[in-house]
Amino acid sequence: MTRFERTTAIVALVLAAAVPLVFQDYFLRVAATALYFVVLASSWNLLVGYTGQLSLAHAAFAAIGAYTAGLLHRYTGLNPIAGVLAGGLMATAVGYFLGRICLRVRGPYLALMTLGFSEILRLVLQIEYKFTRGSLGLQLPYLYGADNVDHRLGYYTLLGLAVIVLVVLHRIVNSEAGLYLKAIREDEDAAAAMGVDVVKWKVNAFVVSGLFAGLAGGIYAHLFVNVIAPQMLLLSEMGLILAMTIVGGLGTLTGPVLGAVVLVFLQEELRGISPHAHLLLFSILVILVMKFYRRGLFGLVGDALKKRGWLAKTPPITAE
Amino acid sequence: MGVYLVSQLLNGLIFGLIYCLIALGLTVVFSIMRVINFAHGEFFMLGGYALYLFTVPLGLPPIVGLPLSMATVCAFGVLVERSLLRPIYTTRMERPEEYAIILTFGLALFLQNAALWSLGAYEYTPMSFWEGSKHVFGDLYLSGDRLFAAGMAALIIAATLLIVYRTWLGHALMAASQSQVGASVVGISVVRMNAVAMGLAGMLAAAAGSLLGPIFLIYPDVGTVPVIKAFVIIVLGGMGSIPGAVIAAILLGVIESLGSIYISVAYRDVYSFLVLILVLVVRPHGIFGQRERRA
Repeated sequence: MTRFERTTAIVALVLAAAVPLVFQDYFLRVAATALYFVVLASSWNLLVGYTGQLSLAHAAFAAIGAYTAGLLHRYTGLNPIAGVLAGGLMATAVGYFLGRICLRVRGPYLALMTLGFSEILRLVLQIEYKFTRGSLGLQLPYLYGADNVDHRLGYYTLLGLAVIVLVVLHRIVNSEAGLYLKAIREDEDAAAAMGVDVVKWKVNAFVVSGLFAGLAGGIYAHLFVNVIAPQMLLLSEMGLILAMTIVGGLGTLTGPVLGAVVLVFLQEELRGISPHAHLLLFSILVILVMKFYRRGLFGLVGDALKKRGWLAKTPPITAE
Repeated sequence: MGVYLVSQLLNGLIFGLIYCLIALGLTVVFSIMRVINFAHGEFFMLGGYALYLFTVPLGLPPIVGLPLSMATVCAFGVLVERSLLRPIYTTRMERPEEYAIILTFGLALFLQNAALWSLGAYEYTPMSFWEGSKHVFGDLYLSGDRLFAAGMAALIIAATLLIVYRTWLGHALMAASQSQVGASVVGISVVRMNAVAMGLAGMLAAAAGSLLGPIFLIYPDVGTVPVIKAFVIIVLGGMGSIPGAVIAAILLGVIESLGSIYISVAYRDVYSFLVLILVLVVRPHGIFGQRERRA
């Protein structure tokens, strides 16, 4: 990392940590939503941007985390924090399972399969309303005790998760494992021929991104509204994650973070016009970015900074 | 029970024919462009809205509205191909599959929300093709719209198959789906074939949307359920296989109708998706499809 990158990261972290000290209620909630989507977009980006496995089941992983915690609390009275961890474990296990059964399919087939998986989960959660409360919504306790309506601690938990996720992703991407993942993205057959264990690394990518999404879903479900419904698996939710990653810049670490923060605040600004205005704008942005400038916002900003030598140069895809 | 069973069978057949219309377009596009159009359900929706526009505010008879609606969405399909999908095969692009999926997914979101924004979440009722309930035989009555939808769908499917298997254009399409390079060598413009495929897909989806419009009404996300059936059908029939899609569509329609007697209706869509996943895991090339050839 260059000095500029370190400074920016620290400034961003300090700003994010200062939010609860200055703002309460509404703005704190918007900031928490931004953090939630930072984790979702970044972990989806590991799967799609770095490994080339275009999955449409990422909103489903967040829902698995949230529902595992919620159902465990409802039926066993489990502590919310233990519930979040259980949700993360569950999402990891499902990530492993989905990664295994998706090994044989690629490209459009993979997209269809993950879409099918996500829709099955949504329909079952909706139909089995006697068990899951379906569209009525499943009530969850607050993260730190049922009566503890102070959301600052919850916000810091989410911030902590986001920092851990970004640090872990940074280490993965810049390690030998990152090289394998990128090799699979560029050409799976060639990577296998060069001795990359394609099976292992594809499943690993699914597992890691599932774990992060599950934890984020679990924590976020215990904050503010603390009611979850199968609507969190709608394709438009997946569309939000996709739009943030694409608009921010697919296949870069900073891109999804930038995209998530910018788009969440944009969404709040647009809420006044119409409750669906943000989806209309985001889908236009996705089409424009894909068509004209696939590197997204970070590509736009990064180029100018790179010229001044403020950003680390992206290493070429070659092994030592 | 006898009449009930027969009416369920007939209903299944009717839906099978409509599913077939939707799936045919999807499979033709996939066979030629290797692209799954995630916005295909929105083509269906546009067809329904177009029929409403032509029949209610403009007051044309529905039988005139149907071809107009098909022509409108056909033009839209060609426009989408020219403006958004063409770079996939005319330029050297990184990860074209990813581009196609994300772009059509974005397009689907855009069309749905644009409809929601401009027309609202209301249900629109296009003018009926054939009003009232019709006597079929014995005690069996079916709504005229359903009978008309089935007959018209069968006619359009037959016409499509005739074009694909009996005309120069159809042969050119099949050649392009077998080998883009080979087709270019013998003088077929592959770029034009891609546009033809998207136009055809738009036309067929619009026909389905128009035919179902008077029965189920039209609203912004009306296309999501039918397109999901179409995904299941093209996977089951083998991605890119035209006869596979026809047989799988009718099979799915009949099984669904009969199944809803014996199994829960709520779980019907869950089973569809399970079929999709199972086929992809066990036999990715479907019943009639060819094994993926890798270049």
